[in-house]
Amino acid sequence: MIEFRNVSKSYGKSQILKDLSFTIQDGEFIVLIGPSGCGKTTTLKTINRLIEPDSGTVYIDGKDIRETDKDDLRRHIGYVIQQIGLFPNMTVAQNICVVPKLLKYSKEDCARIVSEMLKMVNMEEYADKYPNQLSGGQQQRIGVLRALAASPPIVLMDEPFGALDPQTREVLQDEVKSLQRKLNKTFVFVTHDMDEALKMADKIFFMDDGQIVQMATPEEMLEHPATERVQSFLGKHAAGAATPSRVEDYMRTNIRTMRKGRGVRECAERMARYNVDTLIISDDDGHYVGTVSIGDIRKWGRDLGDIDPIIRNTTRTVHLGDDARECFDYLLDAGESYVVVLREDETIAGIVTKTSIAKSVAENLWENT
Amino acid sequence: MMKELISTYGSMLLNAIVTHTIYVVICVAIGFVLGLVLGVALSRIPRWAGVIMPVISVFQTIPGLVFIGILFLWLGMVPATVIIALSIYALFPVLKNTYAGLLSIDPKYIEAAKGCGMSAMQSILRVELPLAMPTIIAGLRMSTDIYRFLDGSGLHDRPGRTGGFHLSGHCLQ
Repeated sequence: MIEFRNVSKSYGKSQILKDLSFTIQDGEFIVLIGPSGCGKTTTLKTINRLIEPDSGTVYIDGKDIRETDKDDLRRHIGYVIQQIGLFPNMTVAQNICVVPKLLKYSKEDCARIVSEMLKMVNMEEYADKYPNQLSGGQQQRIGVLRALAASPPIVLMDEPFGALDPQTREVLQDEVKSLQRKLNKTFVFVTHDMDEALKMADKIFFMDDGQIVQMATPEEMLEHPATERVQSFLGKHAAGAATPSRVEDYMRTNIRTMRKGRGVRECAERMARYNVDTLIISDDDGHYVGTVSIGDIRKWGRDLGDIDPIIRNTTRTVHLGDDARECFDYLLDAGESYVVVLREDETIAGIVTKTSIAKSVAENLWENT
Repeated sequence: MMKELISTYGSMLLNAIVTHTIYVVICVAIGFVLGLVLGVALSRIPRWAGVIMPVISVFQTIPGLVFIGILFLWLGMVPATVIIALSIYALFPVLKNTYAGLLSIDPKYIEAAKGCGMSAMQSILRVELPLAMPTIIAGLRMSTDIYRFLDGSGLHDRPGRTGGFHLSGHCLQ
């Protein structure tokens, strides 16, 4: 457990931390987020005494951290920095073992730790390489392993993935999150990227101007952002932000249609060509008439010249501007796979399918689509 | 001519070369150790270093002969005079390069070392000095230049110094 009690810190005239008090429970993944200069990094560095507060106290497991020797404290707290900072004069294995060595682990233990750690990220063959032989993503993986090597109960990360490309970043986010779940450690993670915060955090601490303005789970924060600032940081993710709700927002327009009165054979061929099981049928003026399914063609098509007798008019139709939610409810409740969307003059505009619901759900949470 | 020279002065020359080399090695070693220690010390107090480094640079421009002369007056004609003088000259480049090398280390490595829980000494020995080593070695190479001082300023009237040969060599021509 980490507890801040009335912690303040100033640099010259500017007060970086203003009477900060909060508690972090064991095993929590905490993300500190906020605009630059809000004090999130200062808060993080206060935990391992890279920065000493002017007043107030930080407790770890109920003990004032000033009572522990600085170096000893840091050896029991993992620390990952944005610039990675692997020691270029040491191999990957030596880098991983920096802290265990400082803690005077035996050679055998160090070797075991190295192989276990590298196994976790599938990088066993890199043990004797030097950092400059690794890609950025691989380097930061090792940076994370270095922090975890002596199995500290607390790990601090200061924008660890800020310098990585988006794909690598996402992979590493997943890896770190799953490591945290597996190892059940307390993580304190600084970022300015809300996507990252929402993805990683059990709890997000939103900081602004040296204070924590909101402590909440990602869900809560999305639903009830405490201030304008939080809202604007959440941006597209916030509940208040207009999420598309009309059927046209989810409509597929690349649909396969056919005029009525056409031959069954032609109809079947068209289905085969476009890999669909249903065609939407219109009259000569483009008005919606009904649908023809491959099942009906198979059953009766052999004896028919044209498709007119097997056109069904049972599919639900909606109009542009209708509420998408109703449409989704219908699709889910009735078990239908699509509805047809019509313009005001009853011509065909598109369809809404069940897959569209997935898109809507995703957008209402936070994943980009 | 050459044959004659070697048969006459050969053993003396060899002797002189050995002595010369020993002097250089001793002085460079002393200078290196002192330079390293002082360089590390100065890098810990960058505010003072801002004053001390320029003073040292000025000091370094004083010709070796002058310095040896002063020491000679004070200590007399003993090997210590040469060793002290040349050690100090060997010290400067190592000191300057150690200082510069340590200061040019990317702060991220120092922060990482601190964050891992290294003490100041561990950080210097395991991270900072190894990273500054190329620069320090360059300083060491410069400090071996003192062999020329020894040559020029070595005490000519004493046998066993190539300086003597240097002069004698000129005389022979």
